[in-house]
Amino acid sequence: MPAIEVRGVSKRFRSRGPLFRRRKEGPRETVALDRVDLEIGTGEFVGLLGQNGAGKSTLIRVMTGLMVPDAGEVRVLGLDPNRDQVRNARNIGVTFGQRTQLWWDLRARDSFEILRDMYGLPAATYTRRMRELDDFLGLSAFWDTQARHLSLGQRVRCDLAAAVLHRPVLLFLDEPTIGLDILVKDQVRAMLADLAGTGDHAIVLTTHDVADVEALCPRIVLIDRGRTLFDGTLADLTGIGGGRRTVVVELAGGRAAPEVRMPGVRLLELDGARATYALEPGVSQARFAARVLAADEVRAIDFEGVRLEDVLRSIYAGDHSALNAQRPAASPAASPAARPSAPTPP
Amino acid sequence: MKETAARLRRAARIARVTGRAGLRERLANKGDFVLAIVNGVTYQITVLLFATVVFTRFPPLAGWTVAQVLLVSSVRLLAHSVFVLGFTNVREIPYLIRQGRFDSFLVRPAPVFLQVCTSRFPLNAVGDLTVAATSLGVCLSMLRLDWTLARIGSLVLAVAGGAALELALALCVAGLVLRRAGTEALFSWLDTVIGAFGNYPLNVFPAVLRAAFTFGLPVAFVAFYPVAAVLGKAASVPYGPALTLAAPLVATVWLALGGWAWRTGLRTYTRRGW
Amino acid sequence: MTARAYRLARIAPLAERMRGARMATTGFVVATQVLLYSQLWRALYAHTATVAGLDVRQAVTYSTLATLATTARAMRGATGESVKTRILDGSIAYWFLRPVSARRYRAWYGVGEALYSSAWVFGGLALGLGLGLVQPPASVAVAAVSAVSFTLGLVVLYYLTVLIDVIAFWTVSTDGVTRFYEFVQALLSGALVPLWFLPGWLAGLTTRLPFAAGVSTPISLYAGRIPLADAVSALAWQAGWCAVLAVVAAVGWRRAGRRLVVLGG
Repeated sequence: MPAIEVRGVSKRFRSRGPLFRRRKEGPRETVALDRVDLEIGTGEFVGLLGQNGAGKSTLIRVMTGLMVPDAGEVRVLGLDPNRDQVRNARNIGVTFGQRTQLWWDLRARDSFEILRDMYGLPAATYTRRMRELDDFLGLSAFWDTQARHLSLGQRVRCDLAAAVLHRPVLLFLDEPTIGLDILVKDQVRAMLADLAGTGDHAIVLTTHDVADVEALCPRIVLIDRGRTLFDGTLADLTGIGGGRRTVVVELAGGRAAPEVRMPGVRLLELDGARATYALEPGVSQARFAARVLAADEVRAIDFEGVRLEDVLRSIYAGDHSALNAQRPAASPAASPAARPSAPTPP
Repeated sequence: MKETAARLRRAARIARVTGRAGLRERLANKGDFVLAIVNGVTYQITVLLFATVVFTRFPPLAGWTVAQVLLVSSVRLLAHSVFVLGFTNVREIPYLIRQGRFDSFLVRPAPVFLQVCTSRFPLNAVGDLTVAATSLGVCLSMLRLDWTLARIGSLVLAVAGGAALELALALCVAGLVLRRAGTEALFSWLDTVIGAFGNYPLNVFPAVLRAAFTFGLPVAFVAFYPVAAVLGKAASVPYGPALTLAAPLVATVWLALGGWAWRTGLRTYTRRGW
Repeated sequence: MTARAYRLARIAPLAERMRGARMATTGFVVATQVLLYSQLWRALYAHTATVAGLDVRQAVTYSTLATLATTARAMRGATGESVKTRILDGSIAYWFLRPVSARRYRAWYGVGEALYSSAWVFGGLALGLGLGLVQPPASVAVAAVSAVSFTLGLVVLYYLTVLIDVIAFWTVSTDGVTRFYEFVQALLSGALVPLWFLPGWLAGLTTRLPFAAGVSTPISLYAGRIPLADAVSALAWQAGWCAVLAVVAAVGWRRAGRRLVVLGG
């Protein structure tokens, strides 16, 4: 049984508009989620990406039971997260970016103690976990400070600790590193990597920080206008640049570059000793390099690896060709205007 | 000189922009909109009701007729409405701080006070004003005063002075709140005390309260003393008739004090946070 | 279970204690209001012995206790853990993500609030008795009955504030509702004006409303305005309101949970 099952979930919002609106403006409707399917297994670390307003947060809210979808079904460890909210709560830990669950007037440590008793943690377990969390996040330096006096970085670390204190099987992190400085980000990432390393947590992370994803998430789900646009590995997503992942090979001694015959490799341009190849997704760069090196005396191989940021930028800008190209046997006749459906995960 | 004018113009523009945004925000929620106006009405009615109960159930109010007492209450209600219309957001500072909006006010190129005041349109002032105006109309028709220019002037001055005093006191509390979080209950304390004790002739109170509301917290200057002047009852007030003319002076002094409290509070806040 | 209840009930008093300024302010507000109102009623009674069946001692007793009861409650978290602030900054979501339901959490939190405000009421009562502002209860029975009534009143007030909280899930900004409630509460609870001073029809209506059940009933019993003989029916009204409001609040919570839309999702 997967840890999280999302089947055909749709959610739309109606905004009623201001009191004195012009008569013609009807109630406006926005589709936040449109028949989303998603399965996440235990031990997976999933990065949920998408532009502002793409529906990431709505999806998180649906998965945590804060929101009831208009259609579709959600199961979290077999429970309906909204109907079985209290039982489900023991399984999950959640942080929402800048929103703190700490008690504003109390010291951070008081908040941890309240949560300890809410989750019914034994004293020894609590002490051990606090020590572990302190090692990663350096909490003891400020846990005797009232929450309202904590700096953003301190508060975010406390909130993260509060979310994982009861060792939830599932962790939902909505923008956990927003506004943090590099050192604190590193601390947070180290802690999350450690959690992921245990293999018995499933972690869902939304972020705009590509570095978070590159550092942490083997699997990426890309949401756009309420739909899953992509669901696969990080390598797949960066590999789907289509014609954009290129290699420039320069041979020694000015000899003309050879044509490398390998499935998925295409010669784009030949200019004397310099040859530019396009690598289809799935083509291993190492194998390509080995082939080139075996055949000729090479002066330089320059992989212009596609960065995640560039892929996202082009997708957000409305260019879905990369995603189309990634589909096996994608028909070239497919209209670029048609919204591509979610590719099946590998 | 030129610089000041430019600064004022810029401040006015910012006030207009933020004020409009604040109004739009308030219109966005119908329930809230209606309630805000109803609130103004109910608040004033509770105050009036208290006053009515007091002066109908307890007839001898130190030689003042019901209509005369009602004028004290009406002026106080009107002054309060004017205060609410312009400055009620000063009382919302704890929430503005909690939302993080106050901090963003600090870095914008406009006076913080102005930004606070325009942060939200005070819809309840509509209700407040309605009740206050009605009450004033009723009591003026009961009084049948002959309206000389001096009398009209002194009535207007009484309302303005009352509003200024309320603002000054609110600023004092705001300054304290900026310094020490947790003191915000004093805002509603002020409201209650002025609402409950600013509505009657000072003569009905025992000596301790008379002194406290004249020389301590200037509750009696919000309406009672200036209204005594309007009604020509200066001779009957405690501590001498000169005080009936002192309200503008008292208001000025307290405004200066309030301004000082606000500025030091702001300085402390920017230095130490909350 | 008990550890959890204790921990949650402790939040409100602890938050107050963490802010020294708040306790000092509460003390100041309670003390000045009690003194001011008692002075006012004394002054008003200077020329009359009894008004509406109440002599000056009773009136001052009533006013002092009413002021205590309302101001002590009004202190509840101006910026702290209120539904209003939690909705404003969007962190109310966490209430629905814990193994203690939002409703139960609010209930335990409310117990702490009630105990804290009661401490102020009893402190003020002791002071009032010492200063002679408040007359001691007429008999042990009166004391006992008003204590029971006070407790029921706390429950009624708790549910009323919960209803305000729940409404906030629909109106987003609770300002309007809260302020409206405060006025209605001040007006109809008898805290500002003892209810029997109101015009007859209004007095008859208001004494039957839950607002009166919160503040006016226990104090009227204490001050002797409601004779011991009528105590049973007064307590029955209070208990009735507790039951009705409990049902309404439970329904409200259920719908609020469904309604929850975290702001700016």
